[in-house]
Amino acid sequence: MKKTLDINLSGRMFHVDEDAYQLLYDYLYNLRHAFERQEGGNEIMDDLENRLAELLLERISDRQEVVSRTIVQETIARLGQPEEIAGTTDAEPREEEASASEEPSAENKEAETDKEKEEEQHDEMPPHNHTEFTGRKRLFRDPDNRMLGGVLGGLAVYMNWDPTLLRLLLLIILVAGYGTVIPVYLVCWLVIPKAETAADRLSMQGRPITMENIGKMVTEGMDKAESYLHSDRPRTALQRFADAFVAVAGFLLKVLLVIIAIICSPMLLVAAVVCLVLIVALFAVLFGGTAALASLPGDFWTHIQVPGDMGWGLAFCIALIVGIGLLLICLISGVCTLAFKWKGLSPRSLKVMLAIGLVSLLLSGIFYTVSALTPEVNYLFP
Amino acid sequence: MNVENVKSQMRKGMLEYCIMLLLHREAAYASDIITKLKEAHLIVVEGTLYPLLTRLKNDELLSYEWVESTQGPPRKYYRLTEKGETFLNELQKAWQELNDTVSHLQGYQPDLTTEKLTEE
Repeated sequence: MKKTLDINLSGRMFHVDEDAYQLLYDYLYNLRHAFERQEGGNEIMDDLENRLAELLLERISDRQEVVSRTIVQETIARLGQPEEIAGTTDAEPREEEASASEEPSAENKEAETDKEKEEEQHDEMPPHNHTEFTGRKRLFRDPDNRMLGGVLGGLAVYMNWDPTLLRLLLLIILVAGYGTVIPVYLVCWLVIPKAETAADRLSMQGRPITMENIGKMVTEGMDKAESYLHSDRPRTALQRFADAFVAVAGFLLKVLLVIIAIICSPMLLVAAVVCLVLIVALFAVLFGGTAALASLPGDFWTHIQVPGDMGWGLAFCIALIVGIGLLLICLISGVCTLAFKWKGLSPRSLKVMLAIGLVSLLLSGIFYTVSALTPEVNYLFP
Repeated sequence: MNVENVKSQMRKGMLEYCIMLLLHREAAYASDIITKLKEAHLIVVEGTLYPLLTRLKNDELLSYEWVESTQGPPRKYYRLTEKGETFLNELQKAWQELNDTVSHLQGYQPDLTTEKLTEE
């Protein structure tokens, strides 16, 4: 006896076995991840889901038949793995990297024997499905084995250590008073990429990125903690509390990290302060006239003297604010993309904003020069 | 150097051209295009087609309309735009040139070169 789920795939209903559902879920998740950042990614996803539904419909004889895992596996083989589909649009530099010759190590030998075993199992596969990569380990954060960010889990996989041992070690170091490991951990969290696609997970474990392995990895994902979190299996209140706690703590840590990043990077800080001050100045001039500026605190004004004509001075201010503001938005978007899963601005709008920002800065320079050339007294900043 | 790699590179290079050729004759559903490309062994997995179609559409070489179908929800019906037609013409010329070059090279006799060299 098996439990089945009803799913709506692209407007069509299917009865799906629970294990088949998990496989479908992982597959679509990986697909979505692969296309998320591409232009028109959502549209491609819709098309693919639609095709998936069509193919499933072809495979079942009547609407009442339950979609089994075998059917899903066959359909996925027909539609293709994310790496196969997305790989056609942009060349993956990782593949070249991975194909670079490596000195044989213990891990590689292990990977080789692994691969041989799998090849035995998949002898019926056509030969062109084999991609010849030597397994080279890359450091990832392991989302399936994590307490906070999966840094230690990933490190443990990378070094072939026990993650619990590594965690205990870190805790001991922490208790012993070496608080510096916290920022180190945070930086690792930010810098080390999370293993999200099946290919990522394979290269994390140093297994060769072959079609068989990727397929196996997608299938294996079922038993992993990540899938467990998404599944409908009941969890105890304590477990749910722990989940929520980890999620909130992780989020807060990341916010903290971004703030630290902003504070630590002097360029960003200066840009933020200058932008803020300029905005205040603009409003002061707009509503209070030049006199209002004098009442503003600080001797900041003596640093950015605008000589000459009031109108040009104001134009300079506006251009400077727009320029710095746009560049700042681009920067913040970049930081957010790095730190959170937020998609950020599309590359095209980023480019446009960057261009407008730079032009504004250039214009502000021109305005400044023009205002300096006008033979009037400096009354913007008394 | 892997024969399969080179072969798949060759196929990849002309995939857009083939899709446009198919749509030049008649408008079609994505599933029709897949069937034809699979018959010609131009694609291995079906999913490959969709990013290509979306890219061609975003470049305004293709357009589509939703057409009701007897079974299930409406489906996209792709056709070549005017811009696509002119684009295809360019590709046709390029392909012709390429074809000429290749057939020229295929009929090339190595001993002819030595003769020419000695003549000079």
